Amino acid sequence: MSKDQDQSTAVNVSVGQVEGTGRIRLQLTGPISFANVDKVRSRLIEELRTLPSGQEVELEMGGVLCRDSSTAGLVTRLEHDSTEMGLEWHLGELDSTTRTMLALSKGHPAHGEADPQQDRSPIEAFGDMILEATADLRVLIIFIGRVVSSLLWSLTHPGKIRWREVAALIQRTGAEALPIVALLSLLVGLVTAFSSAIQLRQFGANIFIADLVGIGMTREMGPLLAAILLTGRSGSAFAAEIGTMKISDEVDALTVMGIQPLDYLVLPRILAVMLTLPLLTLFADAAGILGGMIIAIASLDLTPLSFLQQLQKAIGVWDVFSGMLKAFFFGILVAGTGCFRGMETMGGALGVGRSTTASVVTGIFLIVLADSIFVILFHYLGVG
Amino acid sequence: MSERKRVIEVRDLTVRFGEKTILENISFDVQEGEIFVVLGPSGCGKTTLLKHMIGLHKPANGSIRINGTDIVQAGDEEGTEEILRSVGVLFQSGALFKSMTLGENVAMPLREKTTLSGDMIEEIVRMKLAMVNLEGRENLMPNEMSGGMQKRGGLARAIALDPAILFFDEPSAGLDPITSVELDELILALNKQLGTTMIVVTHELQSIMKIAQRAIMLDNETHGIVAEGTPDELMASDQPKVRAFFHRERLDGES
Repeated sequence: MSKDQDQSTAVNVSVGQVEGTGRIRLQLTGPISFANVDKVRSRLIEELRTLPSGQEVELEMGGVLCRDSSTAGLVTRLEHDSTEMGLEWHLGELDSTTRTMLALSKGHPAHGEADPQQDRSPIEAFGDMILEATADLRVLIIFIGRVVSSLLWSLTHPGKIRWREVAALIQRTGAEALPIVALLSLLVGLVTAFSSAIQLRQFGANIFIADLVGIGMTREMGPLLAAILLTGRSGSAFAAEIGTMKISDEVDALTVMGIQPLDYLVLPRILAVMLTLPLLTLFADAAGILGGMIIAIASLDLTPLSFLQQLQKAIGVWDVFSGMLKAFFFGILVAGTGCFRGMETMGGALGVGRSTTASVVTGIFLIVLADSIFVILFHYLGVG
Repeated sequence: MSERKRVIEVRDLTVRFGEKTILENISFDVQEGEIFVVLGPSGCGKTTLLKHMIGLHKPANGSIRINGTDIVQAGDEEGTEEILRSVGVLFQSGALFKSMTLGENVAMPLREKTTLSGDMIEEIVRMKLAMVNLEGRENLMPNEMSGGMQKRGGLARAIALDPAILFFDEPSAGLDPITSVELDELILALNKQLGTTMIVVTHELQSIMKIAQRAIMLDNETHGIVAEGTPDELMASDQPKVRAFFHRERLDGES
């Protein structure tokens, strides 16, 4: 701090008049560097503020000691500042560093074409956003169409699917995700049961904990938990994998070899998750119910037998099956969004990061949306 | 130069990204067996032109014919797939699949596009790797290879199916001068021995002078072709932009 101050006080600003003219001269002397240039600038701006509009000003820097590009920046910035204040700006003598720096940077003027993003009105920006969103939607619809046709085609040509790859992906997205899915579902089961235990006890309805946890887990929580976890675990991984391949031209290389990236990269992933997510859901259901049972025994004085008997009465095959059916579609959504975001990746490592984030956000959004649609659908079909 | 069969014909090609024009009304021909260089400063659309020529992107306007078939009109996947069988591409970074060994990379087009037996594929992979001086390196992973090796590996994969046309995107980018010369010599040797038509996109002056038989120069202001001819003709050109490029001068005449 002290050094900083020392340097800025060592810089001397003297104001005087150029002889024979109405021009004000600001004479700058002393060492200027990146460390003190901003202080010098604010001092100079203070001086400039005191001058009337239209005044001619000259900056004289012959006595400045500088070894970096700070003074060159200072000069160009001040020229801009003073014109904004309505002053007429002139440059006097400069020290050699400033002169060289300015000459070097003036030699390469900023690119002529202005960035159209810069000066957009909010309405234009909003319009652009809508246009972008519709274009995005269009690409998404095309992607969905191609995936569906690819899926249907693969049903009639099962020999063409890379089953070895599918198997490896099932291992990665299913088996390896099992511990975390089970643990999380167990905890959610515990928490759900625990927070409703107090209410149930007040009504003496202890036994209904089995209905609550059973129906809640199988119909909603099981598939949702498994799907959201898989979005974070595998959907994002797909986006990153395919995105990285995209930016290093590997996807183009596939196309050039006459191999459809969709069949080669996307299809196995969707198939794998489509198969694993319903199974993961089944495990999530079981773990969640186990969590509920622990609370039932520990704090609602039920026996395991009575809990299981009540559970048997409470949930039917459809409850479990509808959850797995949902999970099947969630699986397509999770893998589909991950791959879609990966395939549309552009622009280096940053682009991969963006796709990965987008895959998780879009994935979870679509899962919740689809879940709502399923609830309504099941209700009106009279099966909910 | 005697008139040879025209392998690629590009007519009135216009490319736009959104409202930004990249290329405007470009027309040129590539003749059979020649090494044709597309050159120009960074950002003038060289790589974009290449990606259009292999049908990865659709242009806003114009036609591109490879061996008489219009790949813009071919549109659907089967049409382009047929044409792509006769084409190999070496991408800027080599684009080897990072999850596979070098051998598997080179074997991939053979596995996917031919009915060759495993033994034959192995043999051909060994041959192709020998052509690019990578014999015996089948089991290396791409991340264990240097930049120059990755490019040669990419080249081995590109020539796996013995294409009649080879595209190179900035073959010498990111390589030291010696490795870059080696790659140029490899390109020349393959062209001579196999008679492959080659389209090379580059801005490396030495490389252009060494390998090019004919070249076009693109410009990032007019979005068109500023010059066309043999390297020597371009070298002798008195057009300011061409002169600046070939004599490493600045356009405004300073320095």
